[in-house]
Amino acid sequence: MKKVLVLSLIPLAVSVAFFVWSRSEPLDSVGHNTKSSDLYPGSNPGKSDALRPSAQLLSGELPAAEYGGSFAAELLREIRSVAESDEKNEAIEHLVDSLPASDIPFTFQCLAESGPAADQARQLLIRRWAESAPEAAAADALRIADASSQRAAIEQVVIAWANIDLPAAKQWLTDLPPGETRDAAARDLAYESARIDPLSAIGSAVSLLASEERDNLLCHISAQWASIEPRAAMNWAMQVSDEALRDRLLTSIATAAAKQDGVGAATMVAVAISPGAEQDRAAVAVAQRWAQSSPEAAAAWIQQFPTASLRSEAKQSLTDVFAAEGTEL
Amino acid sequence: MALVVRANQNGSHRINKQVESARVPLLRQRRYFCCLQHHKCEVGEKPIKPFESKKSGIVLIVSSLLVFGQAKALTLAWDGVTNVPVAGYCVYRGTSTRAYATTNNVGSATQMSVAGLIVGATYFFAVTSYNSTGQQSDYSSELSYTVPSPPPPTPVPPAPWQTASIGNLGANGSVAVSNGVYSVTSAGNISGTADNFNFLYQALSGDGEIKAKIMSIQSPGTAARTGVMIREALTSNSKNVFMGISSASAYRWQRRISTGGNTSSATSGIGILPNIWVRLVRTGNSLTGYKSANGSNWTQVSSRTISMATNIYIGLAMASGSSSNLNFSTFSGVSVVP
Repeated sequence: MKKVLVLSLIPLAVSVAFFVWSRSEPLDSVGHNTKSSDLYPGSNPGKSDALRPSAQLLSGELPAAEYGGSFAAELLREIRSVAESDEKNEAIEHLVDSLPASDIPFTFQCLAESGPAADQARQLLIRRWAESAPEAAAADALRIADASSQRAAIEQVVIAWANIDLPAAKQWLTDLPPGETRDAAARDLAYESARIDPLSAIGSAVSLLASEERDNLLCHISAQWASIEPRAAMNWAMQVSDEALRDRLLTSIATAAAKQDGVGAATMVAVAISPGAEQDRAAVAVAQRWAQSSPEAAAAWIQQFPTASLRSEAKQSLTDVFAAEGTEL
Repeated sequence: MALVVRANQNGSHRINKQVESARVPLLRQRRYFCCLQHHKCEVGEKPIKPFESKKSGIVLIVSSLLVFGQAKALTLAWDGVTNVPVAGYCVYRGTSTRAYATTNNVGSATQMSVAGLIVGATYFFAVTSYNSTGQQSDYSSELSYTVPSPPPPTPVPPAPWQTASIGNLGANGSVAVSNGVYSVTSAGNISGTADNFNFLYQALSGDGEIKAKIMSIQSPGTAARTGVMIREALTSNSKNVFMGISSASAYRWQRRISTGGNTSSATSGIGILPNIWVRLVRTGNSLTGYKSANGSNWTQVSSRTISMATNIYIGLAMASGSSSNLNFSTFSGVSVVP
């Protein structure tokens, strides 16, 4: 019986050995597959005999049907399929996730398809690459000629890199030429760092050119900061000279601080934010949060709101909170 | 001659419809011809033999649209005739098809600005070419253009709600809240590695939840989405979870678990409008989607652990599945514990 079992396992062992051998192509020091890198623009075209079949496949030189067994061929088939659907997106994601790590740079470099599905595949590919070899992925992203594709790739690299080694990602970003791509990547980096180091993120964000995106970023980061150091966040925001932005920042800060310190947040709204729509939003947001710990105090504050419509909106918002707390308004 | 309406150059308006009119009779009782000496057009009584060689090749377009308050001006342009000698062009304008009340001889120019158009009115344009002897071609086929009304001002949603256009949206969306009914329109997509849609949101600090009754969804696309969302940031590639329905009323649970990552989606049966309730709850890093037919008995659809910042965003999200079409959805029973 044992002999039969051993004999039956031999084909499996041979298959595994072949698979391991076929996947054991060397990578260079930056994570490139040494064979696939020959195909990339700027490399030596004279070494085409070293290309693997899937390189020709990915560059569109051969039909996908010829290499039906590989993940790369499946990926190409999925990209080329007519249907546009969530299922297609997820199939592409699954195939990218299924690719052996050593094939990721190669597949990214050789994929010559165009269109939304191919763009999505490229983003997922370089993201996976950056999660294991951010410097190599970053270097490759810089070599992409198309500006929007390059920006998308750089953003993916920076997001992945920031979650592995934030200082290194920051350093790499400072070496990029100024422009919209660097600003977009810097925003991504700041959003990622806001979770763990809002003070540092604020420092990065304030150096960006003024834009709606930058202001949204500053509001987002200041809210995270306010959860840790509300007074420091407020003091910083009070120094912002742009009144509209300052009011937005203070709204974010007061809202974020209100669950811990309802009185302090309410005071900030009343004293520091200019009367208007922003102050109204801040007042209701603070009241919602204050009501979760001190419903009577929050309700009493609402009665002091200057307009009937704002009082009505605040009461409506508190209804949900009081329902959750089991309190009657 | 086909008239093709192209996008304007300032990007503020796009006309998609191609207008083809019936061929114009060769002879008319009244028609305009051009007096070259005075560089203006006059009304003539006698029919003019069509300038046969010029009947093709003129393609009339709206090349730009300028907006000055309520007044509107557009620029018409056309490809010049090149296969025969042409001395100039006349542009005809009227408010009924093939009944032109205004004519302009523009000489050899191949574009003309038309100002003083009335918002909401439909104008009809055609162009002829003429040669050095005053012989005029037949009209080009007709271009009709309705001056769009400005979009109604978006009402400010009640505090603390705010609206945000996530990503690059095509068609403009809108939000209106009246008597507890939230009417929201949006183009765009909630899928892939980046979203673009209108988001009606509040700030969410730490734990919280949102629930809403979806009363209606009107969208031509199968990729439409209407529901509730918790989102880490107002950027297009932000982490998020979504609990809602597609245009076929199939419950959808979606999530992007990493910034810039792909969106994963799952269905969970079919709801029956208007008895579709959806709910999202955040507890720590756990985000859970629920569905209900009555707003009281909730069934968990799925749950996912996603590390987001403490202070994030919660609200109503909808998308049509395309950049040009709008999804019009209504909600009621919306409640947020932020």
